[in-house]
Amino acid sequence: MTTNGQSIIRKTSVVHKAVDPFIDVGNLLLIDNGPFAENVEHTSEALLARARDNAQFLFNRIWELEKERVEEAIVVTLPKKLYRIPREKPVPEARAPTKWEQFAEAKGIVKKKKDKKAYDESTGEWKPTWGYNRGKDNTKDWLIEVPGNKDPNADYFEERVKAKKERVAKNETQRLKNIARHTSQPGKNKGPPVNKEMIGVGVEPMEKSKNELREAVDRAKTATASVGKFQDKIKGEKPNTKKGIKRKFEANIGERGSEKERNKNILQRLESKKPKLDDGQLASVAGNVEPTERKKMKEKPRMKSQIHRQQFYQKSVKNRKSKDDPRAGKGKGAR
Amino acid sequence: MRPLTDQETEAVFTKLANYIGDNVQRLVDRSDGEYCFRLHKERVYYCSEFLLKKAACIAREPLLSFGTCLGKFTKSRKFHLHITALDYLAPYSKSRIWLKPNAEQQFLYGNNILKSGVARMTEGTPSHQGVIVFSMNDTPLGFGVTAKGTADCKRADPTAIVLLHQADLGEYLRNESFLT
Repeated sequence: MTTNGQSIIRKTSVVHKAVDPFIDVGNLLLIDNGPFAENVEHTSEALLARARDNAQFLFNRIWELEKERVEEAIVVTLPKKLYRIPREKPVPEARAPTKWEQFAEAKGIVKKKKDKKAYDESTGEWKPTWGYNRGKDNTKDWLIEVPGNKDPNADYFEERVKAKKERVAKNETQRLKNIARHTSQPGKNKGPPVNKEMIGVGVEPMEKSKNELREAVDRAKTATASVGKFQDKIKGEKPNTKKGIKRKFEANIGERGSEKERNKNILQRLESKKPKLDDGQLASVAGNVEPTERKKMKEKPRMKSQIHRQQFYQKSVKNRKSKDDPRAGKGKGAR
Repeated sequence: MRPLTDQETEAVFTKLANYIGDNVQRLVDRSDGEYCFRLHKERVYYCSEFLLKKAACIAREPLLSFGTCLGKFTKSRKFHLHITALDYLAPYSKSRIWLKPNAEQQFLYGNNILKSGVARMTEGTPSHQGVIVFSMNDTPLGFGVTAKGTADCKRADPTAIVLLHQADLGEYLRNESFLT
């Protein structure tokens, strides 16, 4: 088979292997157990040929599976996976026990599992033991009996809410303490990275860049009572980089007339930007000039520049004629 | 409260000149006393020097307004004229439009003016020119910008927009909080 003068060699789909490779079609995996021939060089061509044969071998096995046609595609269902591929991430470590779990283990306390639902005698229904719509919900009490030895004027509803909030807060602190205890254990690289450098000691002076040094100098100069106003400048020193531009506005109630003059100047500047148009000129362009005005315009004495312009134009016309004329330049003297 | 910078003054005068032309000079140079422009809370106020001295005694926060508010500077530092400036624009206006009685209400509700609503118009008004809108009995109603010049208006059909609405007296009711 040839295309554009080149022949395409199609290799055979039948592949013979001296040692059967391990094939797991479920994982689309083939492990070639065949040894390399000692006398053959391991060139890239040889390796490429072997890889091609292995791929062909795997595809032959896939084609042996049960096939289905889904629309235009031929589909196979892969069998169960045989080879256990190693996991990507390490097995997670067992969670370190909390302080209570350690205590319970030491004392031999076993956690009793509460039932999810409990019978509520007041309503005669099975209700959740905790959470929303639970039985024996003391927050729904409309009346609290005051104990004999307590203050009768105290708000026991508020006390109950406060006690609940305290319990929640205590629980949260215990949880955070447990997390802190686990993260700060030696040998465990958990938690935020610890800065090993001494706090307050900056980068080595030699490592400081030119800009950092300049910023440090500027900061030091402005760190005076007069904000660096009277600091001497070294020869060739650049001005402070951090110095902002102070906006300066005119005095609110200033000298009489100064503001008016400024406004007039701005107005003049604005007017000079506009193109000045003469009404007579506009009318003449539009063709609305009366005949008398036209006569007047004709009677005006011609300016010197206009005369020069006309003379120049006539000369240029003459020159053009002489260039175009083939007989030009053949006067008396040319014979 | 502070005086306007040169750029701000230029922006204000350019906008005013679009409506009253060279008559901006009359606002600056008045025979009846010293008048000046001041910026307060991004709004430009036009007031007499006498009133300015009184207003200068009041701190920035409690000072709501003084003189006449001509307009405000937007966030992008463009100057936007308010309807409160109409008292100074109407007498000095170069171009004017008079509305038919049935078109007055349309304009006062913030709509543009169609050719069918125009009774009279100043001759020789170009397009995109600032124009003051009057009722037939010469009451100023607001101002806008011409969408078409006078010459184009004559050829246009009755439903064509002649004037683009900028501000009208109805804003005193609609946008009361925005004006102060």
